[in-house]
Amino acid sequence: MMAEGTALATDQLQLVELVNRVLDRGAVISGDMVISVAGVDLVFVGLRLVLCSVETARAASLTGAVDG
Amino acid sequence: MAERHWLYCVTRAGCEPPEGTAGIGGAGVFVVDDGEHALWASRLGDRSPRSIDGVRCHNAVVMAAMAGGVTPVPLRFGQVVDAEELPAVLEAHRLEWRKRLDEFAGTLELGVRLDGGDYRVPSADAASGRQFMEALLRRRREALEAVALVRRQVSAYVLREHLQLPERGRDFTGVAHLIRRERTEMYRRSLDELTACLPHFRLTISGPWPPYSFAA
Repeated sequence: MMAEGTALATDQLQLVELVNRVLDRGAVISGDMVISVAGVDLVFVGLRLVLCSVETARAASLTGAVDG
Repeated sequence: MAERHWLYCVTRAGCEPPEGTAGIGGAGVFVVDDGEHALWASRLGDRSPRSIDGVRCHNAVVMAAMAGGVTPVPLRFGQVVDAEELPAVLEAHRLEWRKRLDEFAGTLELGVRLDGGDYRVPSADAASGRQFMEALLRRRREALEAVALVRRQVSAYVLREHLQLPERGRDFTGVAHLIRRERTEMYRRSLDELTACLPHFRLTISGPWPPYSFAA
């Protein structure tokens, strides 16, 4: 059985599925930008989602590659 | 500074947003049409897309294109171009739009997600390394068997599929299917019948979606 207390509600699952699709799939044209979702800044570099925060990216000196 | 535009999707020419369709920040959605294809866009201005509402809004605009029985090519969130570049976006990808719109005509995307398993992976702190790795392998094997069952169950309805296997940072298994619109209910019923065969998993069907998983 699934662990109690860890299962996402159905509406949360639908939101996860939505975010997964909209942020990481779909046709790509060009351009770079920074977005944040749910208060956590995410960094797009060449429109590939990099799973790190903006602060982490800054620490890694990636910020020159993005446009806020 | 050039005016920036947020991009949503591409349809065949002649397909217009329903009146009042609002994009990011409430800006009106309009189309740029080259006679063959239409690019859906809105002025971004100083508005920030930085919220979950921005994600919902982007999808809502693409879903508005779906409402009339059209299946657009959905664009990934976060693509912004200058106003003068809008026609070039259509021109530079003309063959790609044509190919995708032909493929997507009369279709939509549905997703299946499998969460769970009949055991718990012990925490890395509590278990021995061997126990932990064995549990992870068992979990992956069960997930693969479950998703194989799902794929067999609906294979008659599926035009294309996009598989997500468990990996580091993702402990669920998912599969996205491109199917014909008129087969949606048959697809759902078929998976409902399967639920009893997967008592240790939670099977969630999501969608219908624009074909995000097949547009890249």
